[in-house]
Amino acid sequence: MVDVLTVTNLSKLYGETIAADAISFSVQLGEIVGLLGPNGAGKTTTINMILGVLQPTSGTIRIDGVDLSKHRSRALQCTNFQAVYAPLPGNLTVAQNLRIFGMLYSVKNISARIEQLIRDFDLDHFRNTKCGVLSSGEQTRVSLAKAMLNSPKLLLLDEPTASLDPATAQEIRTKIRDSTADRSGVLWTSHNMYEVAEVCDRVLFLSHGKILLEGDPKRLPREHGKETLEELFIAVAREPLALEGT
Amino acid sequence: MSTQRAAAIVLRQLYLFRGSPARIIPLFAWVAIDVVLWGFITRYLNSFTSSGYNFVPALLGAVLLWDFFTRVMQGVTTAFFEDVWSRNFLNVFATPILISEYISGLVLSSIWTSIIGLIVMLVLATVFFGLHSSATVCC
Repeated sequence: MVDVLTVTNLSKLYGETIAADAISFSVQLGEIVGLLGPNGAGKTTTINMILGVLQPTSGTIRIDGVDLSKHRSRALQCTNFQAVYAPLPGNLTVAQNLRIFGMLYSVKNISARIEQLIRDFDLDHFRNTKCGVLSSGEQTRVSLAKAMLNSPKLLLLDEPTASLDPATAQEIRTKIRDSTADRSGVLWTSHNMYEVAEVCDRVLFLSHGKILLEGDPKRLPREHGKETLEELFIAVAREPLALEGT
Repeated sequence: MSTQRAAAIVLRQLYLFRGSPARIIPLFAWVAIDVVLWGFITRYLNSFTSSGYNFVPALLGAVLLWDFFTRVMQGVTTAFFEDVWSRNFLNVFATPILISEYISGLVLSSIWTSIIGLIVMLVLATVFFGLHSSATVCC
């Protein structure tokens, strides 16, 4: 399998605070990798460094073989993201936002691509509605449509279903899986362990900026003497030192 | 440098203006007030200058140029703040856009909005205060 993301010894220091501590991992094409950890573990810092909006203190990031620090524009051409804390501008309509971001990602046949995404994400009723007046679920669908505009090889999702009701979250998960299957590598952060177990092929547990555990979300809890992924998450959050090096 | 990405920044401002009279009216309202104000001042100055010095091209022309550049500067700042207010920086700078493309887009969008103000100023100054290309400082 082809690595779409390779992170090597990535570190980020804020003064004396270590947000990311020499972390290394990779994401392969067609793989969904869960990045898990308690609040402040360094998940969003890692994602921001991969997006090129935060300068790492040290380490390298290669997206589809391209070094992000040397060829930022080329590396980000095949990347996209969706995060609950980064909604699209609320004073523009759905279609306007998609067109602008389509141009920013240099999408070919942009009008046809927008129409296809509007159909795929059931946004036809809202195409001329300003994003600011949409519900959380609808805004998430618009953000996901934006994230799929350039058919990214690497898709970064930072809690994509946070604040959504279970039915909408299930629908969103299905759409993400349908849209990315075998075409993208996905790095997915979430605090919903049920969701992680359902969608992720592999998970990385992050605590205090270090990757403590890595493995199949269905087998990993048993391997560490826990019943569920949620129990394992709580153990990582409360007793990271006990799991370090296991 | 990609012209398409710079054009995306311009298009964003165009969409914002298209849907909002509250953004369109200030494009020409304040500059119109400025021209009227300085137009009457130049008339007043012309009325008691014994040497026949014509203040219209000098003073009103300077006001036009001053207002145009001020509007360009304000337009860049406002367009930049638009991304701050809508918390759009992460979305924009996670794209392949370069800083030079972003700034070019802001400057271009600011120039075209300022040109609208400049046209309004030129029309008012020409029609009501006699500013024209052949006007000379001394008559």
